[in-house]
Amino acid sequence: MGEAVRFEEAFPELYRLAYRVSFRVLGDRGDAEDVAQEALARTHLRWMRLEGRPEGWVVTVATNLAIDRHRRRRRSISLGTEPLTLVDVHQTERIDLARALRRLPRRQREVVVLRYLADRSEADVAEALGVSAGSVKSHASRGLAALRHHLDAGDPKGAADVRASG
Amino acid sequence: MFEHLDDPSPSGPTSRALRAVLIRAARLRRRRAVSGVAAVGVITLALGLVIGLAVPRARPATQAFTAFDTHVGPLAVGTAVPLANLADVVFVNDTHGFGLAFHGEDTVLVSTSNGGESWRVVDDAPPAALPAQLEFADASHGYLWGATPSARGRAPLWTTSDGGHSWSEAPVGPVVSDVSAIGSDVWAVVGTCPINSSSVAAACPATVEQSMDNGTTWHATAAAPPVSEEPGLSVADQDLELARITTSRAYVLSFAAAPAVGGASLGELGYTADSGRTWEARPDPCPTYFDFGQEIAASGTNDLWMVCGSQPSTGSQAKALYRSSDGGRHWTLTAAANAPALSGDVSLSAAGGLPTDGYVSPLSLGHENLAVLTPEKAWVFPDRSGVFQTTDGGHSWSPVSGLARAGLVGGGTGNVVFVDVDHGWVCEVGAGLWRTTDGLHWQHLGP
Repeated sequence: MGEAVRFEEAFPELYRLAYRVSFRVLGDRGDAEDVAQEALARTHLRWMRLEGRPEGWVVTVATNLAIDRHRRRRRSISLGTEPLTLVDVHQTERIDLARALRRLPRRQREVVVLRYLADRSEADVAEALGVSAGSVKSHASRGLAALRHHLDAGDPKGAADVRASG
Repeated sequence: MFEHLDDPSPSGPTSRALRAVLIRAARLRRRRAVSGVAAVGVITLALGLVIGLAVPRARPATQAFTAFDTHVGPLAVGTAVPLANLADVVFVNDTHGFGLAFHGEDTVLVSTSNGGESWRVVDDAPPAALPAQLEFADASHGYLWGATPSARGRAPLWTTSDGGHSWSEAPVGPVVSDVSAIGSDVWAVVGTCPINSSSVAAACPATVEQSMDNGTTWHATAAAPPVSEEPGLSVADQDLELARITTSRAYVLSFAAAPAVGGASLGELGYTADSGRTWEARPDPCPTYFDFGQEIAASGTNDLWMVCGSQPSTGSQAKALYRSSDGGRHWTLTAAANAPALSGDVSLSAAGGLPTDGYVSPLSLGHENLAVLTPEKAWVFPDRSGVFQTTDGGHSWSPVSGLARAGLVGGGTGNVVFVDVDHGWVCEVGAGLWRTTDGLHWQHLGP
């Protein structure tokens, strides 16, 4: 994405990206839309400083917002203020994923999120974060191992999914 | 790896979503000017929840505005404006109104002379851009304020006497939070500290300024209202609201995002019956559970309505409605939704109560989630929800037929505004404009 690209032109692709990672964490369309819009609004404010590489920023912000939203929603449910919604068959996995991501060091989380939650290639992740491909490979490997460890501690089924596809 | 967690049928980005993002970005920009002295993360996260905009699912905006939006360069006065571009509207009577609309990322001032059926450009570069607010006392005299503060932390008030074709900065400030005009008698709630000033970290008093000549000259009321501005927020963020009943009677409501130590509520309410020569403090009825915002409206001198909103989540929000029949001295809980803090006092989320869907907040454009017409009849338009009506003084609410699923549920920066008990409008950016001429039936005037 070139530096001269206007925000409005980049918006559709970035929005889809933010929505996808948010939905994977939250599993709720309304919340994922909210998070995607918030992430894009923050992106708009930084547009000139992103130097034509906004994807990494968008994914990172959307993921962090989604994790925060997830945490807040759990509190809300525990207080009994959450209305009943359709059952999400992956809810447990999403809960464990959000918890596990939250525990990762910042750089590992960024790489894991871009690589596996946003489905970017190693080269794309390296470009988005402004680091080398080797660094991405290293952080991805350690991050994935940590993710598996945390998921193992939380939900064996979620960890099995990571092992099977990671 | 996580494909199985994907939304099986995701809704794509739309022009409406882009506009929602641009409004949200404008609000964030304003907030960040404030947050030089506050916690940026907390405030912006809260703001993200407040605004609560989302992509439409049922009725995406049409492409009607594509040609308008893709026009490059200045727009000529009189250029037709698609209704989907309207972000905020106000009316001076049942036919003549003004609005703020998007043109790409820019804001244009528009007007209608046929009750909102069509709109035309008046000024393609007004001095204040969205999320600015506007008010017109008549077809000539108008007021514009609440834009993103300047680098010096000022958020001025602009006045026009020629129907919006030209604007002058009013000699009030530095930060104008809310304005109300009754004829040539205009009041403004003004913050006395620039919002990027370190002095905002300490309590910064608000004043009420008055003009008797359509905003040309101004003077402060003899006494200041007994409300204080929350240090972390600015009046530019609309934590102060002015509700005028007559030329001499008015209420000023302030709302703090964080509870005062030992405080029973987050708001402060001041009342004057003598044009600001004296003010009385009135109790704020909202419990601290409702820590996200509140909104005041009145149908007359003594009939006050206060809606309180909690932290929103997943498109829903706990709400409570309090009413006072003695000018705010005493309040009665009238309805609630999803509010465990009130359990035992009222039936919660009961059918016909306040809607749990959508967000009521002080940061909606123009503070107009709530429109009270008489002591019995009122309308509420929570962000990300439909429009609801009460005809029994707020005890029960019902979704307005035709508007409950009218494309409103996915967004929500719009307002519900009335000029009398029959004539009202609901505006939603990206979705268009609806009108009622009998206070009962709504007509979609178009996207």
